[in-house]
Amino acid sequence: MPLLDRVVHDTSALLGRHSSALIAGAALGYYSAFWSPWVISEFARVRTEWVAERAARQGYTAAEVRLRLRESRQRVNALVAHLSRVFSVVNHTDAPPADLSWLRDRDDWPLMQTALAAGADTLVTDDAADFPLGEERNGIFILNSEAFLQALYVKFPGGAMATEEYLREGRR
Amino acid sequence: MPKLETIKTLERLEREMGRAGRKAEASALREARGILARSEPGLMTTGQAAMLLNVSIPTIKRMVERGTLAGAPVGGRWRVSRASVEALLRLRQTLLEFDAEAQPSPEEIQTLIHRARHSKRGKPSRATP
Repeated sequence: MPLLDRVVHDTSALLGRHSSALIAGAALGYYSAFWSPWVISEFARVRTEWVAERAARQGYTAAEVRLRLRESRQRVNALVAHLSRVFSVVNHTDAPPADLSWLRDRDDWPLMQTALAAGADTLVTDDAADFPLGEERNGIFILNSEAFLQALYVKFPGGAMATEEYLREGRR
Repeated sequence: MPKLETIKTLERLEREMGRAGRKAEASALREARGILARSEPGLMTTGQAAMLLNVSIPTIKRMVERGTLAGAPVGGRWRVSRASVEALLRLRQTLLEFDAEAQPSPEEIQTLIHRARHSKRGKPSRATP
């Protein structure tokens, strides 16, 4: 079983429905989270593209789409800035040499290299098409968001409640 | 306004003076540290931090150990940097704004990432060899 101590999240996890719980878990000190400029860049880009595409699909005018895009960028920039206290940055180019030939696409390498550079024991991704979920590669366990949170809350029985309380307080 | 690090340095110097047998200096440093810690608006107790973040005191201590909160034992009592607590309050607010904006579906995420990562024009960067 993974230690769940040094963890890298893929963009798919940071954008998904468990993102707040994942980030809150790191903020509350249940594990150390790492990301890289590569992950940050992809996260920011994908999130803002989604907001713009959704606005266009919903029939907003070009001016309204631009406005939403600008607001979304500001929100993403704010989140990235706030996360700098919680997520430590590593460079995927600093990863030690490793055999990543099991990845079908070289464009997925920077994610795995981010995990290797961080000395991570766990990679959290919801990309089931390209990553073998539940398996270990290069000494790193690969889990989806849900499995990761389940394992985390087994390790820290009060974790689910504490995360919920932390997030709930902000909604009041 | 002294930083938390300043108070910790005073504490370290106080210990060194104590070990060196320089009682008067150790006493003066202890007094200075006590005054700063009491009057320091940039610090709060673990209980105050726990109340603001709506978590338990052991959680606050774990957060300090992990480094997501800045803090240290000062004069035998834990103190937490107000700025770091406020940063986590802002993070929480931003997370809630993200939630309010809704999240893309798993299918949308898959499509967007695939496009960003695998298209010639869309890569955030190239893998290192």
